[in-house]
Amino acid sequence: MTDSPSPADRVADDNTGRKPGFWRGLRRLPLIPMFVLVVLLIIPALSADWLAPHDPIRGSIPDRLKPPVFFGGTWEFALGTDRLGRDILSRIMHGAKVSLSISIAGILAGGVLGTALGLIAGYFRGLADAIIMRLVDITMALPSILLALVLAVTVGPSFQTIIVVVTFVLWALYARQVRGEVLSIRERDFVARARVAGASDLRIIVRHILPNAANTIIVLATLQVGSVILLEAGLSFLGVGIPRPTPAWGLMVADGRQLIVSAWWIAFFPGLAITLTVFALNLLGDWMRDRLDPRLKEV
Amino acid sequence: MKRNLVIRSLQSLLALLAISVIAFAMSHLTGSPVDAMLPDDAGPEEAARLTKLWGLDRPLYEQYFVFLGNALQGNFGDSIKWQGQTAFGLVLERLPATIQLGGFAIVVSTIIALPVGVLAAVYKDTPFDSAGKLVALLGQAMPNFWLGIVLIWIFAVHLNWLPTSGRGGFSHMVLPAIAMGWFQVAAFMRLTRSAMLEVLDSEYIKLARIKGVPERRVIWVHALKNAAIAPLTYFGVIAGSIFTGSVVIETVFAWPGTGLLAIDAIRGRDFPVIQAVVVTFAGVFIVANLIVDTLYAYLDPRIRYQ
Amino acid sequence: MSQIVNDHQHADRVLRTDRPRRIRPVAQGIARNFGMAALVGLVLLLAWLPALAQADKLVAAVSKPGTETNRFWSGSTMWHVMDPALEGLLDQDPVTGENTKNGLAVSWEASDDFKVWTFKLRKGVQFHHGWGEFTAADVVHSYKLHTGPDAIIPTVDQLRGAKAEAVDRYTVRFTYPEPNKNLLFLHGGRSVMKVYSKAQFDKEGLEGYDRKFAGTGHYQFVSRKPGQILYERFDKHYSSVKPDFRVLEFRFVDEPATKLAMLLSGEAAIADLPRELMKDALAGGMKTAESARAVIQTDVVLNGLYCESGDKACGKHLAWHNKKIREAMNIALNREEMLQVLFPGGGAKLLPRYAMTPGHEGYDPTLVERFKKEYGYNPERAKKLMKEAGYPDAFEDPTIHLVLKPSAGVPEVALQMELIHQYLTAVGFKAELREIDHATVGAMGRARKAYIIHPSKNAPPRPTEVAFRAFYSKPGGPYQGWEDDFTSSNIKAFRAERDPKKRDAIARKLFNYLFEQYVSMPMFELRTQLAFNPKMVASWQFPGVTSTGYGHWHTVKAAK
Repeated sequence: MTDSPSPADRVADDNTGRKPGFWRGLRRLPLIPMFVLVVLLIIPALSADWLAPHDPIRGSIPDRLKPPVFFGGTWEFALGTDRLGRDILSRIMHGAKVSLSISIAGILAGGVLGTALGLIAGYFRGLADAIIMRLVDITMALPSILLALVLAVTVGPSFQTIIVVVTFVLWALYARQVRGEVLSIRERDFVARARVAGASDLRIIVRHILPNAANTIIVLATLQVGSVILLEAGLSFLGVGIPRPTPAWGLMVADGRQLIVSAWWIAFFPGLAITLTVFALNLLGDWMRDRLDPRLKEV
Repeated sequence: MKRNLVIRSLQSLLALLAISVIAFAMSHLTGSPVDAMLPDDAGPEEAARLTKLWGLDRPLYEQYFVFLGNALQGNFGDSIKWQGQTAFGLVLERLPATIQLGGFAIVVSTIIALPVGVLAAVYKDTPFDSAGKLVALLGQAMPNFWLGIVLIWIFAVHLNWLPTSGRGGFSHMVLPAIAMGWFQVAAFMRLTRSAMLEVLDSEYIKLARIKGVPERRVIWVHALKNAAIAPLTYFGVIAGSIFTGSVVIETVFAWPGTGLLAIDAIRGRDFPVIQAVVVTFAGVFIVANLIVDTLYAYLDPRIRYQ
Repeated sequence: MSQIVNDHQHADRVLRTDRPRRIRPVAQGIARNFGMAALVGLVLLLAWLPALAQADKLVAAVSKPGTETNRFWSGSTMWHVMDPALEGLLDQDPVTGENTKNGLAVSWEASDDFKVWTFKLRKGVQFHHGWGEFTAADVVHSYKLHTGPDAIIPTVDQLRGAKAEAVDRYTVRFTYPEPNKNLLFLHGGRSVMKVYSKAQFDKEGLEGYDRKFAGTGHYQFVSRKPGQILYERFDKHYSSVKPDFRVLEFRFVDEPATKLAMLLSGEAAIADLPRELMKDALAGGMKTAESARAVIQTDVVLNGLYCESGDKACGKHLAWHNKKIREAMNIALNREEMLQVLFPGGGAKLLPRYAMTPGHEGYDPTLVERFKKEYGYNPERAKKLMKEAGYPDAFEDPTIHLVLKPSAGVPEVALQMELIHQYLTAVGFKAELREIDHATVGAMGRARKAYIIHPSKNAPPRPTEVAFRAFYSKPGGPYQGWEDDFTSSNIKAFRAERDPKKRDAIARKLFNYLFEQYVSMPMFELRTQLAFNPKMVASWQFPGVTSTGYGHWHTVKAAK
């Protein structure tokens, strides 16, 4: 990694390494994905407790399988009701909270673990590097979905088991990317200067290397929110996702799939919520990648 | 170089050993096949008899070494749920179905993604570029089982064009391959697009244009030939994701492949089969990675992963 | 990696500057360049091969059996897909459901003490694939297989222990050391023993069976592929009934929506749909076939009450250890409403007491009346009882741990448990739903730590003695958790008693006691229901045997 520095790198070298334009870039966020995200994910997640028209968990049997408004239903249940008479709209709103918290918790756990190990592997190289990278290989070689199934039958599916699975899936990815990043950063002048100045390894990692790898980490995280939501859906489909009756989007789609003919709205609307949200998140992630870290292509 | 290769190989062997421990632990964590197989009215004597029959009454370390010793000879033991078949035999029997579907999904996604990616690069920032991106990203946003069921509903039930499920002729593969492959289209397309952008900007393309080579030939022959390398290297990543995707897709489409086998084995606590599936897949993945890494290092010293 | 990719923005800039010179009108360019599109279209067109339905082939889309093997004795919940080729000593009547009809045996008798059973066998029965005539030696051979070390068929422990001998070519005798009153139920009602060819075994061993086993049924085995079994009509069958369909194919499909799609698109003629989907199937012009008898009883087990005196495993910390709570839980349920939600297609009725079956020992018809009153929906009284019991403060663990356990043959149970969760929380119970599969429940039960509430394993009605033994004895099966001194002493007395009247009285007393103690939440008695496509199938009658419940595939009549 002794390439001639790109323009961005040259700027970065002048100070401690933060790439310019991060905040300026944020001001130019793409409008549509942000709007979708705010409307579908953020607002419901923060305010479901007050805004949701019905109880997301307790339904009433007489109101079961009501179609959405415009399809023979009423405004009382705008998106219809499910098999237990629960309001789909309220469940989607509460589900936003679940999806968001799984994504944040999972990405945080996987990201922190993977970043830490990636930093260690890339900075110290040698034995630590070999061990960590073989761990990465092993993790990537193990079908994560089987791990989820095993965990689910062993300790029962729960919020925690999903976080464990998400962490398992993500850490290796972070470790690999961050390590690659660190390998090139550590050869840069400002690191050498810091070392000459007598900075400790820890200080170099935290003050000089981490800030330079931050863009990669942020972009990865943004791109992963969508896949974590999809992962939750897949796990719920296999019956090892969020336990009932918690309203989680993936679980709602999985539960409604049987009745796709007669009560299509049960699976359709949460499916739509997932699709739009993930779509917006991916657009946002793409945009951030282009702005912050165009080298990250393979994720 | 040779020394590197030897070290990497040894490390991979160690990784495989670790995988065997993990596979063993994973299967035993699930409980006991006795509980999955025993009828509801069977008493403790029956349970004890089966525990002994399947060798589950012996100490764990002993069970592990028996498993390891046999596995080294390619023998993962007899299946419990599929009596009369060996665990490895089952994996081999179902592997072609998974590879067939996964391979077809990759081919389909390549066929779609490559030209769209190229054109998106050529017509960058035009409506075509955006539309291509939109379609591709949509595939990455839908839960694949949901897409699968919707596809069955539209193309098999309403239009009656394609069969709903099962493994049969070519037509059986179309829907599951779309449900599986659409997800990959976006990644492929994006890689192709950015690689093309880069190549189109290079000196020799400019030179070709100056020399009067027809534009179509410049794009589809000169540029694509060089741009294709990047998406092709992505195959490794995709191959790994095939298995994960197959677990869900094979369930929806009743496609009798390894993913379905793995689920059934876990539900049935069929230890030998769980171990055979995990070890086979992890082994293939690790060896493939080893080969790819080595090839990279030989072919193109610039793209050294280290 | 960073070397092979240039700075993106830089590339963009360059492209932008020379675009006007290079880019043709977009649509025109796409049309020229996108010859590939035609290729893709061609590939997709090739795929457009409409599935041709074969007129004399019957395709049944059924849930995956618990095991996939040709060895009937070491399989579970696969009776329905083995039934076409394999027959037992006794048969069942497809119209009345009566289950001690002539099968491969034409008459039988038991000694007075029920220890010696003698079966006279049918003559002139041929095995499939030319393996010769069926004789007593085949029965003895099959008995050995079905009671071998790898046998996991239901009630196998009651089949075991006999000395089996061929008295002559067409007579076989089983001698049990203890009285075995329920042998006819084992052979008929549960159909646990099928007859395989000894000649084939002697020549080819188990491998021969695994490859292509020979039975005596209306259909003979052709092949087994992953997810599929193929049978063809056996023309030398002894009965005069000839199956309408020449080929019978099972496809294993677990996803209900996919099964419904197969049925509606005509790919499958028969499908075992969840009851919830029956309505959709009927709306799509399908019809339903139903078992002649109720074949499944469902219960919600209040497990963990291992409370014989001195038993440390007794779940005293559980809320449902308290009888008032058990009663409150029962009357918090609106069973009529559940019936409508779960079984919109019918075929189900309420069950007053699990394991109590009309015609069997100890059946008490007065409990049916009392059930309406004492188990009827009464949320107010439930709340009052909870208050009296001091719920939740008086309990170490006030949470009601409900298990959502998918159960073969009863796909409705998940929804059922969700409904129960709704009813219980509505009257103020603290309840949680846990996703635990039946193997783990079994493991917990075997360890006597099943402090959970779960649906019973789908259970066919069975003789009272068998039921008591499995569900209320220590230690019976792992899926039932009620034990106390009164119950066990009475079961002991019942099993020792020979006088039928006294036996009946003890059993009745026991059922009344279990009823009054609210030892579980009894649910439904179900007939097996399947949907079929009337364009291909005209009718189908089957008796209903064991828990998977359907068979007699030779009675499927083809539509004209």
